Amino acid sequence: MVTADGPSTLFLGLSAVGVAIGAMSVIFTVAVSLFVRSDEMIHHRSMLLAMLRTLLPWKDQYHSLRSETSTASHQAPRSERHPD
Amino acid sequence: MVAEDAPADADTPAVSKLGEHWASWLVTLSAIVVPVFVLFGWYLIANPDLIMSGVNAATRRGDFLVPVLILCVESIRRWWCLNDLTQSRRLKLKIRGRTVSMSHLRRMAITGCLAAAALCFIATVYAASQPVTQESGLSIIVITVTCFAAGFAFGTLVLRFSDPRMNR
Repeated sequence: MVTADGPSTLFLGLSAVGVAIGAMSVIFTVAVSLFVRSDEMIHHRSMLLAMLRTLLPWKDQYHSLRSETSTASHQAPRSERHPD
Repeated sequence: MVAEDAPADADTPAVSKLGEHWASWLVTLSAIVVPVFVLFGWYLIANPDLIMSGVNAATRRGDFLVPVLILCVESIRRWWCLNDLTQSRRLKLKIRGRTVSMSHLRRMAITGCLAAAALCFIATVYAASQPVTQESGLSIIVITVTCFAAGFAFGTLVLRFSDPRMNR
């Protein structure tokens, strides 16, 4: 038998449990993120950075262009110095 | 030159797996975020101001309880499958100089997500069978937000501790 205030009381109880679970999970996650270190996390972070680097192809193009330019500028005087 | 290129080639499958790892989680989250944006957009067409009433009314009715329940179940699945018991016992966490097994963290996360999922399920059943009053609507909003926080927090945490190559 559900009284007129029954559903409200029930939902109030459920929301109190929800607040406890939500607060616990957020505090727990923040604490773990701040204080816990593991090799897996460090590996994950480096892989995440590598993934972000692959999402920016212009950066690789810029570096390859720059290295090609510097290689060409280094090779040019050498060929001038020792002409065949 | 070849020696420098070799590790990058070897990392490519792992990096793409990592992309799938995060993308699948973002797709799960979008089941909740996209309807919220659609509701915002719907009201923005008629009114130039940002109005929360559409999202508010939908949350009060309990429209987001089932997506949040699915998010919590997905978090449990990720803790269960991506971080199985053997692997979690092998993983050691360093907390201020002390070493703790990952299995403790896994147990807590699964318990938290199970509690949030059970709460969502009970709230869904009662929200469907009872008329929504002012108080019960407010309680449903609190339940939805807190269970979303639990599912989101634990689900994102597992991504950081798990091996992307085990993604399935």
